[in-house]
Amino acid sequence: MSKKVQSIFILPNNDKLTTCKTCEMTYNQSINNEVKIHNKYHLKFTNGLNWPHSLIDKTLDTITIVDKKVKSTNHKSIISKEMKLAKVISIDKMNKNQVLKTESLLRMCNLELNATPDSKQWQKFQYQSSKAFILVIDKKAIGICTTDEIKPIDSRWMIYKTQQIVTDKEIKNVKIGISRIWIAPKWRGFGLAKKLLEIVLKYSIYGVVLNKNQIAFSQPSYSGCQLAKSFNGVLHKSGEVLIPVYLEG
Amino acid sequence: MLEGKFDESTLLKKIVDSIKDCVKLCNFNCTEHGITVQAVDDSRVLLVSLLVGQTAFTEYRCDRDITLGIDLESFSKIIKCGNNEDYLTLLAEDSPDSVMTIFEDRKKERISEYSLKLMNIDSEFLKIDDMDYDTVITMPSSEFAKIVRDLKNLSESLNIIVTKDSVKFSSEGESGSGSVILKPYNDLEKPEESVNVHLDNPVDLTFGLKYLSDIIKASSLSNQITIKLADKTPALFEFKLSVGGYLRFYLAPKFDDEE
Repeated sequence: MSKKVQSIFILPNNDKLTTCKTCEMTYNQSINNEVKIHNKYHLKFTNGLNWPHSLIDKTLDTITIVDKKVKSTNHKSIISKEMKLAKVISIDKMNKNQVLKTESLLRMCNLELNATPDSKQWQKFQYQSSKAFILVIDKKAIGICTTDEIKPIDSRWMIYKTQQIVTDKEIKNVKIGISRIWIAPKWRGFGLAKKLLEIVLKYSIYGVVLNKNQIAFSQPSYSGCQLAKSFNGVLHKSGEVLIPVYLEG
Repeated sequence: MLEGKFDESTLLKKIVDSIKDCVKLCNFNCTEHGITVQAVDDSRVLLVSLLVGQTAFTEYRCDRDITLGIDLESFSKIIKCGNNEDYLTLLAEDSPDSVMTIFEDRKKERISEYSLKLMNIDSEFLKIDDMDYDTVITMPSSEFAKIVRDLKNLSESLNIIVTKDSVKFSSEGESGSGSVILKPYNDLEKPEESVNVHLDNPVDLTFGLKYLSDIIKASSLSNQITIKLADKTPALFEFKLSVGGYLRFYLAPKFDDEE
């Protein structure tokens, strides 16, 4: 007897697709499996991807943040403060498990940033100072920053307000490009992205601490622009704020 | 306001027991004509359509259309609290957040009341058009239930082939195969024992036995089952309620893998 496949009803009310506002996954709410997949992904997305201790061979640096929680009871609110230690690790290009896990983290952040797949320089040995930095809190990867090796010829200034590129001027001394930078929604607002950028300055090239003006960004998103503006935006004499950007690829 | 009184609580008990294993949550849509339910199981293979007509109640009033979102598992527990011969009354306000089930003993002065919290269930009511089927089989529901139970031991799928002079139910599994062949049969003394086959076109269809075994749980509602089949179309299994109304199951067929 040939193998048979069960057909299903397609009904107007269970064919509606929902797109989650937080993690942007589109799924069908009436199909249990899809709801399950979404819930799993949503949790990963908001809280970060599982990152077991076995994937941390060396902690590059640590960042301490204070997690404030407000518990409201009927009469008063209690603010509890908890110190959280975020470990920063730099992906070892030789370590396949680390690279694989980083790729899945990148897929998630590309989805939110609406970005195309990246240059993957951080995986390649010939780009020594192109790296992937991961932030880990409580065995969860909650932030990532991948960088590219760039030359002044790849770089341009972008006008913050209009997002226009100033075509004729390269940025001198620029060395490292921020390809992707992303923090899980639960951990936003702690200044972690900026801290990550400082890590990039410190650890990209061995023995050298880069200057802020040696960093450029690849196609910054809205919040990426804000980060860049406060990190190394330059006030031009015309009154416009300029952000260093570069062309990836 | 809704007020529907059943002469015996068993009818509602049987109805809920027939569908609670395939659908957990469903809307009871109450109108002046009676109560309808439409629900699809989680896997979207089986669609349940119920009508309890106004005539099924000894007293019935429903001034305005009311939707009762009911968790059948909890409802079934409540209904089991009544004795079979008790009068059963369903009571709900116009925009209710709960439904009241009241049991009254026929002889003794005993009244028990249970309130069930309602749920907000998102589902649209579909209009299912009547369609022409290739074959209509009417047979004793107990006989169909036995065929399903027996062949379920062999396989996950039941194949139904209807030709001019017979209906063949068959199953093929790893351990072996089995089949039951029925021919039209007319019992004048006990018409409910008859097997009627009306055939416009022969059909050859396969269904999941898992779903069929959910369907046969409704056998207690009616002595007879009507099976309507058409090629590449969901089958209709219907149990008529003698007091007015029906419980219908629409079951999506299985297809060959390459199709």
